[in-house]
Amino acid sequence: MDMLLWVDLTGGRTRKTRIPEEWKSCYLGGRGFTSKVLYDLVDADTDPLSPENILTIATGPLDGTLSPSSGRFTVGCRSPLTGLLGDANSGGHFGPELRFAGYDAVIIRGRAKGPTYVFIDDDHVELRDASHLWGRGVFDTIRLLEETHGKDIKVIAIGQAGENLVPYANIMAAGHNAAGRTGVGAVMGSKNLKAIAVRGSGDIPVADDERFLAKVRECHRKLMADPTYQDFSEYGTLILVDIAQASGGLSTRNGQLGLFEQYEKISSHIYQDTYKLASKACFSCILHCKNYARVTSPPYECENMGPEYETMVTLGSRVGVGSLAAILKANQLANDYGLDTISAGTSIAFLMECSQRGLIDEKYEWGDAEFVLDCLHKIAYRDGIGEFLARGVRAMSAEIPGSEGFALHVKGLELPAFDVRTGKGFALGEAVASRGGDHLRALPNFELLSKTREEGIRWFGTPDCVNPYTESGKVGMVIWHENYGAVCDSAEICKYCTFATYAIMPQDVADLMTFAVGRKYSEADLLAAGERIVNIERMFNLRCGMTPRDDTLPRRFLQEGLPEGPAKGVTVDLAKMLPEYYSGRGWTKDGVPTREKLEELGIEAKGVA
Amino acid sequence: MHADMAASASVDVLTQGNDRDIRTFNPEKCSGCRNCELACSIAHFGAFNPRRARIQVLRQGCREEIRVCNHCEDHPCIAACKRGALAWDDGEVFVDDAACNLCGDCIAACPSGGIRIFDETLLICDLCHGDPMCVKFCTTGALTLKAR
Ligand code: SF4
Ligand code: SF4
Ligand code: SF4
Repeated sequence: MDMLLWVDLTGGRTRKTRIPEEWKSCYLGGRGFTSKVLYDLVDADTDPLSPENILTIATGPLDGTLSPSSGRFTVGCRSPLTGLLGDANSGGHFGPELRFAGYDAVIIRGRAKGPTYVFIDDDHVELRDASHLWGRGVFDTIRLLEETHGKDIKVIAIGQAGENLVPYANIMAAGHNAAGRTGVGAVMGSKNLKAIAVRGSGDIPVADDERFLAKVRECHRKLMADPTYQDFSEYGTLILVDIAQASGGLSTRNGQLGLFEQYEKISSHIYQDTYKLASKACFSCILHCKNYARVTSPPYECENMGPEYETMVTLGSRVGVGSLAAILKANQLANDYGLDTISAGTSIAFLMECSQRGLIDEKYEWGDAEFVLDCLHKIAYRDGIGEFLARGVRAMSAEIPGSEGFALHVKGLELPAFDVRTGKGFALGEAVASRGGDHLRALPNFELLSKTREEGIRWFGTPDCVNPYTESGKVGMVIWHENYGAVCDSAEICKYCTFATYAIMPQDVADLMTFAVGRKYSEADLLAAGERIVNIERMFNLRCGMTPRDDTLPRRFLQEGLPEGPAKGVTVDLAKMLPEYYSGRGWTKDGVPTREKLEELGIEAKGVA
Repeated sequence: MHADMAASASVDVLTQGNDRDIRTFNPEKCSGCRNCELACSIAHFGAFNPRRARIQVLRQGCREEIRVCNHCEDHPCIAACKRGALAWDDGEVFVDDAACNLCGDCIAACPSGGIRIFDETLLICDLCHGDPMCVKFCTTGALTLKAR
């Protein structure tokens, strides 16, 4: 434990150092570490796909313990898709295994001469030839590594998409848990690094067993008593498909509509009754939101962990596909190629809308599942139309005049499934998120869960925060979620414990960390760390050339009301929230952290123009 | 959302055991979270380490299987040990670590694959002397205690 593994792929060397104390007290772990590394070591001139870019994989201080849903890890690097801060977070079993092997984080630099994988067997670390794995999909790669090293290893790997430097390629854990945003897989591919395989057999002791276990049980009880727990543990994130349709925000045909006419065919209940075989969990998780599914009918036969809500929408309603079997197949292919389903689906949807509007000559039809499947293949290999799609929505749109308004991205990152016209807190969160068009930085589900006005006042001092359709009362709620979200991503605890159910609160995480690590963390310490992380990420992005003008949303969400449903006619007025957000953050009116704010947080300003 | 769910959510799923109970496993309910392994290792070794757990959860496709001592009626492991390192008492296998030379004869004799060696220690479930930690921390109901 407590070790940092440095891998220099250019020189073929590895070394180990202790994690600096400052990192642990001020940045906690996980995303805090990956963002700290970027801030300290990556400058404005670093080309994301060059050997100089740094890829960090970091676990959290609770990884490997019984702490609820705390087995996640974060991968960070400069993003080839946005040019800004990139990171992606994944569940599964890899994070704990890395920690059982003794490492809290791995920092990878340089570029190997040929295809390489890293094999970590406790103390023993080896760079090995991956020629036999190059060109293979994720599933095959994992299978072959298990044949070589035994079934008890845990693997993260890229597929063909990462090898071919698709700027929205994933790093996949166990074949179905995706570190899936901002193109971390392409950075791994650019380093000729195919996979990391780990076996860890060491112990993770905690400072105070008894109180730690009592706290875990208390958290379990709270989770199971939360109103959202039942649905979530039964249907997983797919319950959100139903909620989105009911609120008029099920992103359909690239967000032209918020009601999907084939919704009945992709609802969570249909899925449950047709293809789903079992609910599964990540390491140490009692929510078990993952679903395992099997399709036996041709041509979509497949079997594995099924899609999440994001994939169900972005490769379903957003491209007009209402065939569950086809979506399951698409999910499986994307996982095997190692592709971000949000970015891939949204790029395909963008192309379809360009065709619908006659902005391009080619004809592509909404709902053409065969075409979608073919596109995934071609994107991964950058073949034919895939070469164009693989650039992502922002770059595609730059070549098609008149398409900017419906290019669904922020800062170059394709927007997730949720239609921000049906949740103004989400709208603000996605406009300012440090990794671009992303809902998980803020994830202010509080506004969607039918909380009462009294609850709104009690939690965030305003009854308006529980009404998703208004701009007022959202800023304080979003800032709290962003700060605490950064804590969750750094402690590597799943946000479904904290912002889907609102069961595990900052004091709980502080207790878990205190009893685990033996260093006293207060609720205030954690939230300050969260704020610090949000601020260094902002500073890193400013260094990379981001301007506050980039804190915006596609014109579709700002000016086009949805034509029907509960959110009919609603648009987002960011101007009502952004100034208050900047001042609430202690930033200038141009969205730049002030010197006082940086001093208060102990951040040394550097490398910013 | 569903406020009425709060009331129906089963909060107290954590069961107390005693030495006349037996543990059952329902693979339909197991999510593969590995909490049982973690609970077992912290209880016996004061650290989290699934490889030290006396219960092992193995995923086969979408189903989990467990490997753990079932405290079976015949307990052939006892007779298989030529060194007298294993003893049966009140539904539980006792290991005399000093007498055990890790030969593995008991492993071969166990019909449920419930015995393992890790870090030069023979690992057999002792039912936590009546209060099984694995059951306590299994929130899905896959592991339960039933009267023998
Ligand atoms: S809630 Fe889902 S994603 Fe989160 S840890 Fe559990 S299984 Fe994994
Ligand atoms: S009953 Fe106790 S010893 Fe046996 S497997 Fe469960 S936790 Fe381990
Ligand atoms: S704790 Fe229960 S659900 Fe989790 S792996 Fe063990 S038996 Fe399965």
